[in-house]
Amino acid sequence: MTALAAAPNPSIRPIPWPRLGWVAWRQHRSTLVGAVALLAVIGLYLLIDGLRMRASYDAFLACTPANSPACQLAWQSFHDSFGSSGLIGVILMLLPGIIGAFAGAPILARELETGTFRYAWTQGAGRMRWATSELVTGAVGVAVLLAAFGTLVSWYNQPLVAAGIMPRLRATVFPATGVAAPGWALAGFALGVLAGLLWRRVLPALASACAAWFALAFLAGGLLRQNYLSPMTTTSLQLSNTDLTVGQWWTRGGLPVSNAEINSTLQAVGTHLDGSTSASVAHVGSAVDPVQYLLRHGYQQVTSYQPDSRYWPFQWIEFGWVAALSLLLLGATLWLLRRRSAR
Amino acid sequence: MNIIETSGLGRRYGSSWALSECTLAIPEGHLVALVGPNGAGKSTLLNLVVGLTAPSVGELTVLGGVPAGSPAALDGIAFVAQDMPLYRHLSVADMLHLTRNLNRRFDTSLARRRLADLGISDKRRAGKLSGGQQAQLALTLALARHPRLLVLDEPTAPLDPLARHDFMASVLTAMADDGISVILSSHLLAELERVADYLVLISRGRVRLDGTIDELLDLHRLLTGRPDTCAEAGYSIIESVTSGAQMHRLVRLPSTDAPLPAGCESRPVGIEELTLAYLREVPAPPLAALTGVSR
Amino acid sequence: MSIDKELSEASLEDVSPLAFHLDPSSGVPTYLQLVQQVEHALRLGLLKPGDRLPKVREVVADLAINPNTVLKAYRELEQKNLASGRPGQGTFVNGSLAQATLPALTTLRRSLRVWLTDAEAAGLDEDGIVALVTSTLRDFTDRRDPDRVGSLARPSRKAGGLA
Repeated sequence: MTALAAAPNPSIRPIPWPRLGWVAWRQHRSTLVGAVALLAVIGLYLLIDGLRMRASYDAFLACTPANSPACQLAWQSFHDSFGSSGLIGVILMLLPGIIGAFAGAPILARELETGTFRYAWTQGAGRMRWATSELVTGAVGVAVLLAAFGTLVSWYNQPLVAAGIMPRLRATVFPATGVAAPGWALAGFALGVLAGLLWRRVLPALASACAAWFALAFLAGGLLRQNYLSPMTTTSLQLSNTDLTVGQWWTRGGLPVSNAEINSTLQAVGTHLDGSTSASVAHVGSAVDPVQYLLRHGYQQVTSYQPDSRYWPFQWIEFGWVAALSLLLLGATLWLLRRRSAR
Repeated sequence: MNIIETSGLGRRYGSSWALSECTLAIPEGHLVALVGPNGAGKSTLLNLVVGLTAPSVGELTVLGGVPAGSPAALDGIAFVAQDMPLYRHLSVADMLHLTRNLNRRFDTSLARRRLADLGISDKRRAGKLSGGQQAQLALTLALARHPRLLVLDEPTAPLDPLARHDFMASVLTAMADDGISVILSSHLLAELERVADYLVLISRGRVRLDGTIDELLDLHRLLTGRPDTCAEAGYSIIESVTSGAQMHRLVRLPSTDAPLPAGCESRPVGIEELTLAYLREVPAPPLAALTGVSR
Repeated sequence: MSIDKELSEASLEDVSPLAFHLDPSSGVPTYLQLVQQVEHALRLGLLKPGDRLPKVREVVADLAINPNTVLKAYRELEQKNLASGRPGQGTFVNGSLAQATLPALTTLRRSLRVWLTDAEAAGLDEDGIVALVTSTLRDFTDRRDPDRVGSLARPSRKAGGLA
């Protein structure tokens, strides 16, 4: 009987990262292929539609003179065909989170669910190095894919932006474009990974990660984004389509006036303001235009807003905090993993 | 050199102790059979040894003083868990590649040779192999790492008798070839005498038997006699059965040359008999474990 | 026990003339079965000094038994001076238990066959013959050598050490 077993090596060389990278890639190759396929389909749609849009816009631009009925028609045709985002807009907005979560949730959850962690975490590389390579590979992959996607969506939006009809800061548009898209994909990924570790099952992890992502996106869109920089204010009644309105109120002599006072003032002349903030809508069925009445009597309407010109600063601010949050979640996952024990 | 050494080792899940006061010193070069009822703590001990879980209390070192779960320990220990965890959608060749990339030491030619001898094709998906083939694949991946300790958690449970024989023959041949130590948990008491030479019996989270099988058999005797003429001289009684006027008592001697009580017929017991008696034993205050100190 | 006569006559270096088998239900410890099979072969002159016992690895691979068990059996044979190990080459028979020459064995076999015919004629069946032979043998050895323990039992505990 030969005793070939080697003596314990006091200085253990760590397994090189490229080898671990191969492991991560091979294990999640099918997820990658699926994501690429999905993005390719959507990307193809955006490409085709984007080219059509450009043709229509170019036709409008080339049309002279600018005020003729023919050119108005060209404008109308461009505006109506491509002006509203609709369903595709919602899909584009949700896509980074969905792809991120679908990529992230199975990484730990499937190992725990199928029991293959008993193989993966007892190999020479150890669980921390294995997990780090899986998470880094997945995060980079997801970020790169969605960065390309975000660029494509921004390209798609370009004519609309140039025409001044695309509200880039709107909640259903902003997160799918530019660098916000890869940021939100990272958030979906990190939430998926952490949920996977906590639930130990793929489906509950996916569901909860998507729910958490949606809540975060809702929070960002409804509350945070409009305050990245102090909003600007204007007393003008003409608001641009592309600016994001944050708030609106009436002042008199420089001081804010409560809605109750506005309403009582208007009721005295038999009219009132409806709930919409659109300053130019006249009240139907009354001889007095409430807005004009208030303006003539020294009131001013102040609107706080974020201008479209702040799009790129906001993109980087959003990417910054979302990516930082994602890294924090991934770090927390690794920390928990180190302590996690198997039953 | 002790392949597994523990001192007061315990693991708690919530408020219940899966394993407690476990003190072992298992020398290398043996095939250790880890025996006990379901839920007794066998899997917990194995999970601690391979680093999948950490002790709640006490100490555990492997491979001659290396902390369990450390890179050196992971390097020298190969684990085949219950249900042979493999990635079902990967091919056999992929599994080989994967294992090679996750370890410092991997003997690809040995693995290929073994799989060829067993008739397992490189291209098949791991999930499509039969139970016996999956077991042999998992074992091949483990042995190709040239570990010093092979840990098997009920490896033969899903296998038919022929597959079981082939599996154990592979494990034992690796012992003969490479001098590896093996610890395996099993319910197959009938096989114990043939394959194992060291026994650890765990019941309700405590170690009840621990030592080489030769030593353990030397320390137990079955005494038969009438209650009035045969007294067990104060030795620990493991099991006592009365049939008619005769009483049969399985006793544990404090040492191999302790005198046998007069007035009793005594015979040695087999390992299967001994193990069953301990498994049936009503919990008594923990016996001082016989530590397998090499002589 | 199968003796591969042709191979032993061809004296191939690589093949041992002895192939072990295991009877798991006999209650006899594994290592002892191996020892007994070697002694049996020696007694019948089927293993001669200089023959190599099977390599540990071969026995383990065939029978799926613990290598330490095979080593224990070979150590026992060495203690009984029946075999000795040569480092790197294997374990070789060096003693002999052949208690009678082959012609003597043939004569004994012939007279035994005659006795068996008589026993059958007297009405004994196979179990009866075995019982008669066993008890007569025991009486014979007890009378001749009162301290000896039967070879089929576990070796008695030696004081202060492992068997």
